[in-house]
Order: sequence, then structure tokens, then C-alpha cells
Amino acid sequence: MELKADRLTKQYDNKIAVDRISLSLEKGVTGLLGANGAGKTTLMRMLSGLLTPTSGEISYDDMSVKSEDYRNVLGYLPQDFGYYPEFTGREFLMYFCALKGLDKKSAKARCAELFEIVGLEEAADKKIRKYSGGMKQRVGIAQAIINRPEVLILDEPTAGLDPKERVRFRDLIGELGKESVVLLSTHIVSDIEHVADRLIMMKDGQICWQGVWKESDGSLEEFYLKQYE
Amino acid sequence: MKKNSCFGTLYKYELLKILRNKVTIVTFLIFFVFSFIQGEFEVRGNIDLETLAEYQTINYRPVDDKLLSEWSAVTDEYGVVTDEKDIAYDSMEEWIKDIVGYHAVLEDITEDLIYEKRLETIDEAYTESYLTQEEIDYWKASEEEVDKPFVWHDLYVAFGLENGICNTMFMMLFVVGLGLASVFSVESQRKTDPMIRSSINGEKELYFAKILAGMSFCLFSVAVFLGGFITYVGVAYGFTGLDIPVQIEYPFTQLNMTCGQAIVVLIILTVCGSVFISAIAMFVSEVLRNSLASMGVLLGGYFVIFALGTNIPMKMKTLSKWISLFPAIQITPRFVYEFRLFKFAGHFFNSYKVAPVAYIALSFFMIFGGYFIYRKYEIKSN
Repeated sequence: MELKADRLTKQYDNKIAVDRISLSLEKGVTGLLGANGAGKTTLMRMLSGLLTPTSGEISYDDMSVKSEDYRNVLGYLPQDFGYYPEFTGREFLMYFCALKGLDKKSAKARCAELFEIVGLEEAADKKIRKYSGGMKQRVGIAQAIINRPEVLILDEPTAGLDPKERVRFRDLIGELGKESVVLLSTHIVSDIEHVADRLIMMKDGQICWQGVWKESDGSLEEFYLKQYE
Repeated sequence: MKKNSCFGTLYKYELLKILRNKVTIVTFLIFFVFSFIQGEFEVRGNIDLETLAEYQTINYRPVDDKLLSEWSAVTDEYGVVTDEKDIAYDSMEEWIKDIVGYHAVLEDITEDLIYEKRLETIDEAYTESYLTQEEIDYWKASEEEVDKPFVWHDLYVAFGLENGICNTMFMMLFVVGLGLASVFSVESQRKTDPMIRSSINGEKELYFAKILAGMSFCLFSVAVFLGGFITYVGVAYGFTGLDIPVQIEYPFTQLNMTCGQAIVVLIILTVCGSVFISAIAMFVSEVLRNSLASMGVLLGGYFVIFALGTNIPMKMKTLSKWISLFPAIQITPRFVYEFRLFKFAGHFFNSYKVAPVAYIALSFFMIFGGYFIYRKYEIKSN
């Protein structure tokens, strides 16, 4: 399991959003930190196959990220995602089960399992428009892991969750990292400290630091802030 | 590993997205009720049932000197029936005046005059339509096939059916505009597209599930509107007079068809035209990724083409002929008056035969062209 990017660049008109980034992600949770506009979302979209790089290459175990095979093993949660207000939570997940290629029987079982994981069993048959922000975020997380992905790309997954839920999902992400390649982008440094095995920091479209952060290295938050001074 | 396309489930949910749109459903229900109501006012209008029954007393009589002299005897110099007991002949007034002219002397109308005047007007139409000699020869050969003398019948059911079917096309324009202009744009506007496009069935399977759901909604709507309207007319008035030549409705046509056949043509044009505007709506929805803009383009485009098509000089024959194929211009009972022909492989085809084929061919072109665009689409905005 290796998601590799080689000299990845994305340019929009005169702005270079991602500038010659090379990285290799393996099984485990990799935290992605960076200020707004650092290029995190663009990088994640390219790694998800949603955006074609201006130059550079991406592959996952010799698969192209544009291939169906890759999408079959991918789970993606965008930073700012929507839903269908007229659907119930269960209908929303059943729809995404079909998009992920699960047959009806497996989809029903997986939905029940996911509602339990994200703590929405009681609200599964309520219209999503009646959900709170945190509940919608939980449904989003559920759709990202429907297909038990080998590669899981999460863009601010804990935004909008209350502290208790955040801890719960942090633990869930940690569990998923045992079996999958997880890339986790967040502004919450403590989340990264708790679950990330590796860390990538981005600034102005480039990686400004990457490696393993150890407690003996001091406070990650202070180090992170120093990068942007 | 074999891929599970889940097409049926995707189709079901795409259909649900369309059917749970409140504005679409309210519009659909209003038009559903209207389709029955128009069955009443398009056929009967202001005429009472007794008069309609009277009209039937001269049905199926040949339009010859005998019938025309009876008509002359009961009408004044303006062609108006003078005594209520002769109201049956009132239904012939418009048809006769249409042929001989509104300022003609109506006292000595004869069979010969009617058929002669009719051909004179048709000759003028040849000139106005800038027909080639080959086209004129085609129509003259067609005229030979038309049975004469024409057989009279009151026209209320035939006219009513034709007008109602054409209204259905306008109803479909609004229902399709509201229901299908958001089929693709909804994913961008609701920001669900990144999750969809990163899923294994988010490309080909979803695209065609959306198209099939859109087309199912279109065909269901047009079937309900036409079915409701035609059933009402059939039950309330019966399908009378549909076996007579279309010349009793539109005297200057040289098409050898009955009123019933003209109605079937209009039904086919309406169904194929609805499929065509649905394909346009979904294509525009995909390209613009904005429901309101897509609706604006569909409705605005329809009326602009309507205005353009009705005003474009006949002198610009090729352009005006092709523009006239658009549903806005083509789907009217007056399609029978289109003399301009399309020549393919040495054979002439009437516009009503070319139009449905063109609608379906262009629909396929937009569907498959749209798939190409859909595959190339990238989610750029944050």
C-alpha cells in the first residue's frame, strides 16, 4: 500500500497552488497541516483523482488515480460537502453505497453498521435537512468509509463536531489507519498529535516540513506556528 | 473483481431526486389537472351541447353543389346563418370563407369555385415558399391522391385535440425546465460532486442513471398529460370526425391524410419534441452547472427560436426550413401547411417526418456529447 506523488504541481492561471510536491504515503495516518490557501485541498483533490495536476505524477500501487480500480479503494471526505435535504440519512447512505458498488443486501447491512459507528442509529430515517451540523458531518464521514477504503483522504473531518464526538472520530481515524493509508487534513493540531503517525506541513504550495513528530521534539503547536511566522 | 454497477439503485435515487423537488411536483400537478380541464374548453369552447348535436346532422356529407346550395339558402350575404333552426350549417362558414376569401360574394358559391379557389391559393403558397419545380411536382402528385369531393364533418373534436396536444408541448417545456434543469447542476450547487466523482460508479453509471431518470420523468409526464387530455375528450365527446380528410380542417394542405392521422403526427412530434427538450435541459444543466441559468437558457432559447422562426424570411429557404424544425415552430396543427421539403438520397421528405428523427438523433448526440463533457469535468472550486 503506497500512494506516491512525484513533483506534483497545480497551476491556476498565474497562481501556483501546489508546487513540485513529492511524497509517499503508506499504511497509517498522515497528518496534513497548513494555513488557509497553503494548497492542502488542491493536493488532496489531486490525490483523489478529482483534479488533474499541471505536471507530475500520482500512483497508488501502480494504479492510476484516474482509474476505476483506484476509485474502488478510495474514500474521500471533502472539506465543504453537501447533501440532499429531501433524503433521509439512510437514503443518503444507500445512494452512496450504490455509488461505491455495494449490492442491496450488503448496502443495508453496511448502512446499519455505519449508523452505529457514527452514532446516528436513532436519526437514520429522519430527513437530513433536520440534522444538526455535527450530524451532517458524521453522515459525511460515514459515506467516506462505506467501501472500507484502502486509501482514505479526509479534509477537515472533525470540523463542526462537539469535543466528545471529535475524540470519538479521532479514535475511529486511528483505527482505520491500522488497515489503510489515511491522509488527514485539519486545523486542530491536537487531533494530529493524537492520531498521526507522520506529519506533513504545507506553506505556499510546498511542503515545508515532513517527518515523524515525537513528544521529545516539544510542542507541535508551537513548532507549527513557527513555520508561519 | 467483478464490478457491481448498481444501475437500478442509482436510477431509483436519481428519480427520487427529481420527484422530491416540490416546485416540480406542484407544477406537474397543476398541469395534470389542466390537461383534463383543457379537454373541456379546447373542444367545446363557448358552444352549447345542443348546437354541437345540431352540427352533427350534416356530418359525412360530400362538399358538393347540393350541400353548398343548402348552405347558401340558409345564410345571409355575410355567410351567417339567419335562423337558429339551421344552425347545423353555421360550422361551414369559416371553412368556406377561408377558401373563397372573406370579402367574396357568398351567394353563388359552387363546388367548382371552392376547388378552383383552393388550388389558386395553394399556387400562391408555392411561390411564397420559394418551392423548386421538383417540389411543386411532388405536391401536385400528392394532390392527385387526395379524395374529392371532400367529406364534411364538424371540426370541434379534431381542432380541440390538436390545440390541446400543442398546449401539452408548452406544459412539457415548463415541467422539463423545472424538473430536469437541475439534474446535473444540483451536484455542483449542493457540493456533492467531489464525493460522487471519487466513487467507482460516479462516472458512466451515474451519468446514464441520471439521463434515464430524466427521460423517464419526461416520458411519464408527457404520457400523463396527453393521456389525461385525450381520454377526457374521448369519454366526453367521442373521437368523432377523425376519419375525414385533413382538408376539412386545413383546406390548403395537399397532404393525403385524415384528421386522425394528423393528430397522431402531432402526438409523435410532441413526444419526440419532449425527449429533445429534456436532452437539451440536461445537457445545459451539465455544461452550466447552475439550475436557474439552465432553466433560463431552455425557456429563453425556446421563445427566441419561436420568434426567430416565425419572422425569418422564407427567401432564406435553407435556414428558415431547418429552423422551422425546432419544436417551438414545428409542433403546431399548421404543420400541414409546410410545403418546403427536405431532400435526402434523392427522396423528398416532409418536415413532420424529418423533425422527430432529428429530435431523437440530436438527443442522442447531446446525451453522448454530454457524457464526454461529464467525464472531462474537474472539480476546481474549493
